[in-house]
Amino acid sequence: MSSPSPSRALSIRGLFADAIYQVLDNKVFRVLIAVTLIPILLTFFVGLKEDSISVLFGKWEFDYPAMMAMLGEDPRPVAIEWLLDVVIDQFAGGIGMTLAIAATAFFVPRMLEKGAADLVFAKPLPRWALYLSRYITGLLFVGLLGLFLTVGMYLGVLIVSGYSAPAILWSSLTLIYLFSMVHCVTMLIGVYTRSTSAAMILGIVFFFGNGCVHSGWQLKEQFGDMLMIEEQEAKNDPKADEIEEEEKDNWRLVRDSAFFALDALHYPLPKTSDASLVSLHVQDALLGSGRMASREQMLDTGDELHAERQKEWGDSDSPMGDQDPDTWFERRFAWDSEELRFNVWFSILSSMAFTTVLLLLGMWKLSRSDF
Amino acid sequence: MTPPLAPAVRVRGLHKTYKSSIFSSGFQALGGDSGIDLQVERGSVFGLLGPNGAGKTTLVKILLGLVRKSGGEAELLGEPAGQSRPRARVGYLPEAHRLPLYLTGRQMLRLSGMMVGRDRKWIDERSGPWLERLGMAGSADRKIKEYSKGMMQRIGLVQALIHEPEVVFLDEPTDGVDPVGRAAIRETVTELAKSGSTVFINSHLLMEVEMICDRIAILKDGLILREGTLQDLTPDTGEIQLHLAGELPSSELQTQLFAGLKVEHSVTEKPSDPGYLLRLSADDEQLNALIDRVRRSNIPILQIRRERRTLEDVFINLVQGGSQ
Repeated sequence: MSSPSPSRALSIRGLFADAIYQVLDNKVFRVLIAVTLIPILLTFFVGLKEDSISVLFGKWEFDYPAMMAMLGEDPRPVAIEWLLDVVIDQFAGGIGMTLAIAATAFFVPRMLEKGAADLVFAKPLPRWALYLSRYITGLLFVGLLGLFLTVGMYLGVLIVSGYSAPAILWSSLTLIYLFSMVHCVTMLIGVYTRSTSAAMILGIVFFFGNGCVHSGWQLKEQFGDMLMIEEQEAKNDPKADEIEEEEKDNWRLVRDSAFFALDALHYPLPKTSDASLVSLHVQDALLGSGRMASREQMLDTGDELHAERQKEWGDSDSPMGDQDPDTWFERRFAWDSEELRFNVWFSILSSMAFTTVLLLLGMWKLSRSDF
Repeated sequence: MTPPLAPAVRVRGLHKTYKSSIFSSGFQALGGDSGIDLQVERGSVFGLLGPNGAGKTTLVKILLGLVRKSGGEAELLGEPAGQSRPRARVGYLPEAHRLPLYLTGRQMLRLSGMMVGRDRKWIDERSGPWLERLGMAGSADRKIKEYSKGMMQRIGLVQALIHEPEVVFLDEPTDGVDPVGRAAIRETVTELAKSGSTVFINSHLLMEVEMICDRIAILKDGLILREGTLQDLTPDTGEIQLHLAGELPSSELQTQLFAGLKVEHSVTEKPSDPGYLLRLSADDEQLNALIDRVRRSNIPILQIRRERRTLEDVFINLVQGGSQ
């Protein structure tokens, strides 16, 4: 026999090549590529100049609305933030993500089908590598779509608006980050049930359920802060004591249980709702892109008003410090907050820990499976 | 002096039991209480026969690490079965396989070869002759989803052989293949054996196994009932057939031929061929004496054949009546 000795690197390359073929042949992938052309074409047809909006390569020119004048001399950074918010966070991060979960749910169950599993697992590759390759295939699915979308939009903005916005390109990483947290769940369901339908349905349920948990947790945090404000106000109003006592008796147990449940779910679960905000902060920290400033400008709530309100308050023992309730609340929860309502590193690390644990669990299950 | 090569397959006391769970009741798939013993030497074509559910596929899957054994020992090319290293030297065509439909035949061969650690160029050089030999050269660039069942079986066989494995496991290799394709597969197996590869065939098609295998084992309910060469498994029945030309012999001629030989015999007409069959149970001395008398009577002898039991007889007897 004159065959050369087998190479592990070639085996891994084979797995990657298989991943690419699998993605490119996927019908949903092709449909999504076609759908992403809509926002891309929008950036080509609508140009944002420094002083006007140009439609269809200058066929029509419009002045910016008066409101936009508040955004400074060049409104384009803020307009780009708005574009990213709508296209990436809402459109790609919501509908696109749901479709991606549905389109990639079959990766593991199909690999484990009788006949297919025999072919794949008889190869001299460790099962964990095969499992990981399916995970990477999913990320590739979203990554290629994201890259197509963001490169297209970036070029549109660059060519037509004459404005280079690397933030658009960065958004493809945000989508991969977001999908990486959900895909491990779909895969784990797939490896346990070996059913595409179960993986698809439960994956989507998880995606939305997880979003609800974090929205619920944010509401809980806001509610908790409002309670603190009420307590602060009650100190100044003796009549409020009776109402407070009654509230304690009736609702405290229920409320505390619900709060505990939300905390218990929020901390270990991946922070899908934080993905875009995390991305924004990481981008600012690594590249000094100043995107946070643009976002703050977009969602400006009016600092002057806060300054006025602050004059009326001043208790250093309060959790609010010297701030009035509105200012304190806003700084804690709003985009122009000095203290974020979450910790970027905790968000990233806890999400990565969740993803890693689920991947390891899936690999363990696969290593124990008979075909 | 180089040490002798380990057998292609060695199995000692191997058994597999599927445990019961909420969703399924457990059952013993292979080996019974004592487990099975089996050895397949290198360069042989080994056939594993058995009815559906006998445990043929389970045995192969244990050897390839697709199913975990419950006990006993299983070795593939001298290394513990289930490890990934010996699998690089093995080709496998599973029963009812599902090839990736999103690939063309050629892409699938490349990826399959790469997954066992072979270079793309190296695979391309070898895939051409294999595709040609199995009649798939013209369809190699079509998507697998467009293939017929027979074409899938043939391209599946090429993927099992493309990396020049030392051992090839073929599970029902001719399933769904037309007669021409079957002949091509049989020829391929014979060539593989000539080139020194070991071929392990799982089948319930007795004729295929009879034609190409030089050792055969019959498995039933997870136990090996009989194992040996085709000659071992299909012994003489003790009956001899003489195909003689001409009209049926008269009773006088028969008395003359068998006088003093003390041989039981019967004469039957051969419906499709000229002449008739003389069936008898005789030892060599009696047979030679009879042949001398036939020649002296100027009766042309067309054929002399010792009757053997067919593999089908042996198989059905074993499967229906156990190992008795």
